[in-house]
Amino acid sequence: MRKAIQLILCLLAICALVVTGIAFYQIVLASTIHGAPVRFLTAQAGPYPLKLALYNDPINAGDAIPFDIAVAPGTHGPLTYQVTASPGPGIPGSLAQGDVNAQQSTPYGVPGSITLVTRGPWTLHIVIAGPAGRGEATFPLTAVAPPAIPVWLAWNIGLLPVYGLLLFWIAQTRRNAKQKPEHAK
Amino acid sequence: MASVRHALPNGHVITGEAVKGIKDLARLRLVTGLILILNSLMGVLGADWDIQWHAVVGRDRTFTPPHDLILLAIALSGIVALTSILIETSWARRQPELQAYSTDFMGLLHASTGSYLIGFGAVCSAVAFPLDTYWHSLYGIDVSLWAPFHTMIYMGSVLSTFGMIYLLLSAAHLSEMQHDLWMTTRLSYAGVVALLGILLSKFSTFLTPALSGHTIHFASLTLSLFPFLMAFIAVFLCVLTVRLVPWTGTATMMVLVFLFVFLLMSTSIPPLMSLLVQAEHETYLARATHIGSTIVPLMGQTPLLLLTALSLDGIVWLGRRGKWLLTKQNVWGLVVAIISMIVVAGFTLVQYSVRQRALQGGIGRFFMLAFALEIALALLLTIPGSLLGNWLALTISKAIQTQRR
Repeated sequence: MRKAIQLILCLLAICALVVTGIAFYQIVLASTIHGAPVRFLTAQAGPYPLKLALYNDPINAGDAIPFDIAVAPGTHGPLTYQVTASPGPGIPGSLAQGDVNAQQSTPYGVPGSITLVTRGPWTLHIVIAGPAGRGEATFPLTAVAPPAIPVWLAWNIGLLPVYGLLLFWIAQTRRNAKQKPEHAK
Repeated sequence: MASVRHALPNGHVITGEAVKGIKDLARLRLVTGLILILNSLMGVLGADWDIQWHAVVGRDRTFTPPHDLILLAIALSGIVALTSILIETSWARRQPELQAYSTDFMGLLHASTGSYLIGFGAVCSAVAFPLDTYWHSLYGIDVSLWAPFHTMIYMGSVLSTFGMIYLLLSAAHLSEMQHDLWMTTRLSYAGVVALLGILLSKFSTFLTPALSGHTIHFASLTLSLFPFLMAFIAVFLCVLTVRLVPWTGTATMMVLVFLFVFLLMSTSIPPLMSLLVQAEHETYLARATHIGSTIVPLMGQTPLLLLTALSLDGIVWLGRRGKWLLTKQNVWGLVVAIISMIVVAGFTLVQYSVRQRALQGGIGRFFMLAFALEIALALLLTIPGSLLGNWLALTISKAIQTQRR
C-alpha cells in the first residue's frame, strides 16, 4: 500500500515536471522568432512610413511576442525605437515595455518583443526618432487567453502542498501513536 | 520534549564502519541543510522583491529578475535535495546498516524524509509558476497575493522549508549519538532555528492581504482576519521552536533571525527596485505616489513579535527552573502567548487603520467608535488563533521529534 502511494506520487511528480518543462519551453519559444511573420500592419509614424510584422496570430496573453519593425526604404541615418503597450479601458494591466534590438535586423526589419500580460484589447505605441525627426504610430492589438478553469478547482490545485503536508503529519502522528504501545510492551 | 528513543535502532550493534557512516550521514545532512538555508534566503529575496514590483510597478514578463531569483531558488532546492538523496542512497547500498537511519522510497531510494519533502515542495512551486502566468493572463496584474497559484508557490516553499527542518533535525539527532560531533549538533539546531525564522518571514509576508480587502462583514462593522492569522502563525512557530530545539531562549533567537531577514530585505530591496526600474525603463504606478513610497510596507513583519517570543521563552525558563509539569508549562505558555499576541496584533492593526483612515479623510466621532469596536472584536480573534497555533505546534512537534530519519 505504502509503495503504491509512493509510486503514484513519484509518477505524478514526474508528469507535473514534464508538463511544467513544456510550458516553460513554450514561454521561451514564443519570444523567439521562428518561421515567417503571419500578420503585417502598416502605419505612418510622423515622417516614417512603417510596417509591423507579427509572428503570432492570435497573440497569447502572458507570452513575450516577437515582432519586426521595418521603415520604408530610402530612410537615411540611424533610427532609435521605443515600443510600449498600454491596456485598453477596463483591462487590469500596466504599461508594458517592449525590447527592440536596433543592432540586429531580419528580412522583415528590426526585431523586438513585448509581453501583453492580460487578455483583452491593447494599444501598441511605437516611437521612432531619427534624422528626419520624431514620429509615433499606434496599432490596436488583442491578446487572448486559454479558457478559464473554475475558481474552486484553481484553489484546490493551489492548496495541494498544504493538503500534502497535512496528510503527511496525520500519517506520522498515527504511526507514532501505533508505535508507542509496541515500545511500551 | 517528546521521547525519541524508540524512533531509532539504538538496540543494534553498531560496528566501527557503521559509526563512520553515521557521522558522514550527519555531516552530509548538515551541509545540505546549510546550503538550502542560503538558497531559501535567495528565494525570500526574490519573493519580497517581486511583491514590491507587482505593487508599485505592475506585473511584466514571466522572466523578470525577481521571478528569475524565485525560479532559481526553486530549481536549486530541487537539485540539492535530489543530489543528497542520490548520495545517501549510494551510501546505504554500500553499507546496508545505514538504511535504518533513512526512509525508504519505493524500495529504490534511501534518504532523509526531509529530502523527499524538499523535492515535493520544489515540484509544487515549479508547477505553480506557469499556472500563475496563466492566471495573470486571465485576471490581470492586480491579482492579490492570495491567488490560487501564488498560494501554491508559497506553500510549496513552506513544504520545502519543513523538509529542511526535518533534514537538520535528523542531522542533530544522528550527531547527538556521537560524542565527538558536538559542532554538527549545534550547527544543525542553529539551522533549525534559522529555518523557523525564515518560515516566520514567509508566513508574515503572506498574511499581508489580511490587513486589506480580506475581511469579515459583521452588521455594519468590518472585521480584519489579520489578528487571527498573525496569532496562529506566530504562536505556532514560537511553540514549535521551543519544542524542537533543546536550548534556552530559542523562540527569541527565531524572532531575531526573522528580524535579521527583515532588515536584509529592507536594505536590499529599495536599491534593487530603483536599479531595475531604470534598467527596464519602467515607471511607478500612480499608487506608488499615493503611498508616499516606492515600497509597500509589509505590516506582518513587525519587531513587536519579540514580545511574544520573550514571554514564551520566559515561561519555558521558569518551567525548567521550577521543574513544572509539562501541562502547567503549556497552559502558562498559551496564556502569555494570547496576551502578547493581543498587544502585537492590536498595535499593528491600529497603526494600519489609522494610516488608512487618515488617507481617506478625517476621522469623525462615530467612525472612531465603530473603529474601536472593530478593532476590539478583531482582537478577540487572536484567542482562537493562538489556541489553534499552540495545538498544531504541540501535535506536530511530537511527530517531528520522533522522526529521526
